[in-house]
Parts: sequence; C-alpha cells; structure tokens
Amino acid sequence: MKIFRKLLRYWIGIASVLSFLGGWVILAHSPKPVSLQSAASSIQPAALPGLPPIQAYGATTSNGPTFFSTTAPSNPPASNIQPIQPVQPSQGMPLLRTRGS
Amino acid sequence: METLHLRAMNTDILLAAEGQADRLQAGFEQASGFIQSGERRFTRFSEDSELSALNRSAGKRFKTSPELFSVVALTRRFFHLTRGLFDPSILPDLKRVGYDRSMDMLRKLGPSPLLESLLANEHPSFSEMDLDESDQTILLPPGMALDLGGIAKGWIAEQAANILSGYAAACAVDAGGDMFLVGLPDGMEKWPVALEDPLQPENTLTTLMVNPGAIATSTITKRVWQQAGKNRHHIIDPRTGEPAVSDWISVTVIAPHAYEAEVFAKALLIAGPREAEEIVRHSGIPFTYLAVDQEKKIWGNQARLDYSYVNTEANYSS
Repeated sequence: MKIFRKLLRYWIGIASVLSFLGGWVILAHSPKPVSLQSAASSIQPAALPGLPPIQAYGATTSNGPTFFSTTAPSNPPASNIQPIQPVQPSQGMPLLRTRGS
Repeated sequence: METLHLRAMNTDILLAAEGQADRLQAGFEQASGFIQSGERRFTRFSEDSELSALNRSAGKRFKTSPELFSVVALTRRFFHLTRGLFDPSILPDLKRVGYDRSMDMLRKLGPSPLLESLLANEHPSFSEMDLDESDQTILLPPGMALDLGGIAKGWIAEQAANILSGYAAACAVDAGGDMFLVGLPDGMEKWPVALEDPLQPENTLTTLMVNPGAIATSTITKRVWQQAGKNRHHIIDPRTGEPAVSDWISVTVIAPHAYEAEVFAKALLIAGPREAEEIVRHSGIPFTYLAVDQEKKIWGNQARLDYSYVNTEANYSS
C-alpha cells in the first residue's frame, strides 16, 4: 500500500511538471496580443496603390477615394487646381466647426 | 444671427438662428428643452434613462417610447447598410476597454482596469435583436446592451433644429461638431463649416461650403484614454471588439440627415480606404465623405464634393 502511495505521489508530481512545461511551450508559441500603442501614432498609413492624386476639380472617380490637396500649389500649372477664394460669412455668422467629439 | 450655447450629451451645443428676436427666444427654449430631455432618455451613463432600462431588460420584451423605438429602428437599418460596421451592441466591448463612465469622469478618474480581462466579442450578435412595431416593443437577447451615443446625438440635433426652424428663417444646431442646418443665412448661398484638424484642434484644415442638411465627423483622436499602459479610443471595430485601427484618423460626412452623417462617418472610419467606396455604394444614400489621414491628406468621393477650401483660418465671429 505504501509503495502504491509513493508511486502515486511520484506520478502526480511528474505529470504536474510535464503539464506545466507543456503549457509553457504552447503559450510561448501562441500569437501575441497586438497592443494599440497610440490612438494616433499607432496608425501607420499604408501605401494606397491605385489611388493617384486627382489633379483637377471636376474629375470624377468610381474606384476608391480621391485625394485632395489642402494647400494650394506654389506654382500651379494652368490645368491644375485653381484655389477658390475663401468665402466671407455674413456679419455675425457663428463659427460652425465640425470635429469628432 | 442669434446664438445659444449649452452643455449637454457630454459635449458643447450651439444653437444659431436668424429671425425675429422674440420668436427666436421661444425657439431656443423649445429646442434646448428637447435636447436636454433627449439626453435624459438616451444616455447610458444614467441608471434612470430609458436606454438603461432597456439594457437592463435584456431577455424580456421592453415597451419603449416612440422616440427610443425610432432610434433603435434606425440602428437596425444602418447595421445592415454598413454591413455591420455600425453596431450599437458593442457596448460590452466599449466598457471592457475602459469607456465605462462618461468621458468627463473617465478623464478625471481613469478606466476600470478589471474590465480589460474580459474577452472581446462575448455578446450576442446585434442581428438577434427583435423589434415589434405593432406594440413598440424591443427584445434584446440576454447579454446584449446598446450604446446609442452617436446616432442619438445626431437624431437629437436634427429634431432640435427642426423645432427651432419653426421659429426662425434659418438655423443650425451644432452638437459637438455634428450638426443639422435648416435654410440659409441671409445673403449666403451655403453654410460655411470649418473642418477641424484632428491632430491640432486649434487649426482648421479647410472650410466646407455645405447646403442645408447634416454634417458630422468621427475621429479616433478625441475620446482617448489610457488603460493598463495602452492608449484607447472610443471607435470600436465590431469585427474585433477592439478600438479600430484605420489608415484614417477622422472622417466627415455630409448627408441629408444627421443620424446618417453620424453613422457613416463612424463606419467609414472603421472601414478605411479599402472598404469605404464599397460601403458608400452599398448604402444607397447620397452622401459625401472627406477622410483625413495621418499626414493630413484629405480623401473623399469627389464626384459628390461641392466645397471650397481655404489655407488659413477664416476670420469668423463667434
């Protein structure tokens, strides 16, 4: 009976150690969670093949988004974007500003 | 143009209207009263709100007000139109990543760290929700809870603007950058709306000239917080249950209705450039979008675009 108990103890001990090591190996090889490093800085803008900048207003696209410049070219070619003059709101016009909230 | 500023729905609200002063005063009172009652109904941050009561009723059929039923019915429609990218049932995920209290409180007290240990996407699909129009009841399956934050804000802004328009020749309701415009100010052919730089909010990227209707912006740079050393934001990608990772940092949508603008701004922000046009086509709704990337380049569906741009801050009075 004593021998059986001893054997059982050894068996449980060895099985525990092996299970622990097995779990360790499995976890070490499992995919790691991706951390969101920064709401803004973690975004890595991917290259967007097939979406060339549109050079002139009036052009249309049916495949994918179109790129717009927010600054006027310093020496715009005649056929390129013609900056539109800022529209001056009427007196007392409140500042309407769209932004994420 | 007369204006009224108030704080509601955890954001700054601006009411602006043109018309006779005495009538505008009554209009402001009616519209602001509607906004405040709408907030009490739709907020998830108060246990007394009707939305909280609906969320607590999960597993049992809940009799709603017509207002709550209307907004929840809209969410179901937009869930399908955005192919599931707009999903109000991500509330458990939103709480898990730390947005378990109002943004004001979150910034002051920080998020609850324990919620991070829960698994993502452990809630029923939104398509399992059942609405019965005949008796205005909603059945949320057990484990489902809704966040109506953005869509309710758009819906409230539009309803408030329509109320105010009964007292004004032209008016605007701006709810934290999501706005609904009725009529045109005297002498104007369009409404000028500044598009804020999402990375430098003190700057303006461009000025949009928009027709009466709605405009809304969704961004991952505003409602941000830290949880266990990670930076988090409030735009959850329903496909992962995690804050969305997108090539774009903000999306602005110009649409006929404020709730449409709000929903599609969020959906396109999650979708990013590879899926955006497909979402637009699938929606069948005539809206314009402008997306800003990390380099502050603006992308959009130019075919619908109708705006002028400026390079410097316009000198508006405020």
